[in-house]
Amino acid sequence: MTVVRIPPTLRTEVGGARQVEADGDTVREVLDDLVDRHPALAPQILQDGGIAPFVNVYVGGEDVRTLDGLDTSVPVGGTVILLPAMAGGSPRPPAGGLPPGRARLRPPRDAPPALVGDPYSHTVPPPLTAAAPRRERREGGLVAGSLLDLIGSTPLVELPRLSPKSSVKLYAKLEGQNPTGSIKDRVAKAMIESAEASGELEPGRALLEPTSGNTGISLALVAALKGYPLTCVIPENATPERKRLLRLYGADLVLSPAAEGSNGAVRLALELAEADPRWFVPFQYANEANPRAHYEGTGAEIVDALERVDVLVAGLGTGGTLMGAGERVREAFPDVIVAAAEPLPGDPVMGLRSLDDGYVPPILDVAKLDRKVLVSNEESVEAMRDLLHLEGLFAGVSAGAVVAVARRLAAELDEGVVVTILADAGWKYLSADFWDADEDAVAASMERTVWW
Amino acid sequence: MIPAAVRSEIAEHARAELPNEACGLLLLDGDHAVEYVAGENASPSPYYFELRLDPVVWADLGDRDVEQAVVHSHVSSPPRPSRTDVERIGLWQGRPYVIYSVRLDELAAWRIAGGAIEPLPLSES
Repeated sequence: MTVVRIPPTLRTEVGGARQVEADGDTVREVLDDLVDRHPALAPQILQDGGIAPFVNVYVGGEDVRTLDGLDTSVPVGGTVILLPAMAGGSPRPPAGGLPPGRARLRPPRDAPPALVGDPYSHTVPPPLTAAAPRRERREGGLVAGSLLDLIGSTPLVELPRLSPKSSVKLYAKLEGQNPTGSIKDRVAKAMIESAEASGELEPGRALLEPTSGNTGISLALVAALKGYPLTCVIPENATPERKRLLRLYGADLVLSPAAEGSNGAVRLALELAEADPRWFVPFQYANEANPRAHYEGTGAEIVDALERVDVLVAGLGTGGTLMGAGERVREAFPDVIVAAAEPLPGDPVMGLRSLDDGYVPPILDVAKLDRKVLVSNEESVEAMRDLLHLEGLFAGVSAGAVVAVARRLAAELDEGVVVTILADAGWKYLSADFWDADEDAVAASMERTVWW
Repeated sequence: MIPAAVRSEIAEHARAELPNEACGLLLLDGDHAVEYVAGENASPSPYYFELRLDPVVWADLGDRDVEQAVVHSHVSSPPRPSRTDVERIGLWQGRPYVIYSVRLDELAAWRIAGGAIEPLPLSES
């Protein structure tokens, strides 16, 4: 005789008993005998000749579905446990996922994104050029009134060869296609235009910014076109390409000690600004125009382009992209997971900011991040090489880190859409030879310089 | 009624399982939650859970004079049953069904029966 333990959810069918007896050498025989004795159990535990989907049957502590199913043998004097299966989940789009092939792209909306509820609008006045960028599409192609009008509206591209499974679509937003080649064009333009609008930045003042590269280059472009002199405080071990580009764009450089990394540049710039009121320091780490540029630009563009976003991955630098774009994407897709790619603490000068380094940018609210995923230099370089070799995408180091994290999170999904924001292209890292040097040489090179 | 200590066990378990959903059983003595038994999510996912507990432990819980309520977390959406929850309620229909939203830090109780969702009053102490 076999003892069958009955869960509370099925006791009504057996007159309230906690356990009953049944005969049989296999699960099939025991259950058949059980329903002969307690017919009310039949529809609950058997269905279509098998075990009903909402019941689990255990013999010897093992789910019989993982053994031989109904043919699992039941030892003499053994116990069979019935338990109510439970499964469920949070809201998500209908099962089945996206249709195969081309992803569904949303047609652009006629109206610009609503500013109602804009979390940044109360802190920063609207820029003077609040109207749409002066871009016109004529018969011959796109004609812009200024290079500044070509900032933003970057394309998304699918990365099918890098997605760990076909049911998960992986997209990259190519911020390297901004005029100076990085996402920081958006931030530089927004910071300067909001300071002009508030009256804080007037002709005659000069700009000073701590930067390991991209923001300086972007500020140099915007400052040059608007007529402000710019001085950048930059770690002395930043790549030669970056220093050269900054000088070519007309910026003056002040070098900060290599050993202090990005934090050293911040410290020195703030000291200089305190000593001389002529300087206007946009200071991207604390400037609300930084996340606002990503709320109104980067994030809104993603929401306009895609019907669905399950995971958004960006690098953790100032936090501007994650805060601004994350907020905007979450408004459209409340279940989105906003994930930050963060370097391993102690992985030297990885460029993306490790919060353990001791400086948390004021615009960064860590509570708004759903995940912080640590990524090593090696993983970042490997993903950067995969981007080039598998997808033909020549991207920068932080893009490698972001894609490495995106692939990990994509592997955790059954199906869905993962969007990555790739901050820049690979041009400014050519001197490092990340793409074909052996791993030891890359590791040594990583330790010598600041990458962004 | 759910005591603060039990609630914080649910919240801590849900945060520990991020980015995936967490699940477990809440034991009820009448209207009073007395214990949270953390389970394992056998299908780890941010959108799905499948409650797994040692079957002998679970069967023993069933022999105590307490009612069992399934608890699971929603990573970022509000603590309201999803369509999946309603479709997969199975043998638990008509029983208290508790959801914790990690992002909102909100706990809510429901009863799902016949495809309908009914809120249950839940007070915290």
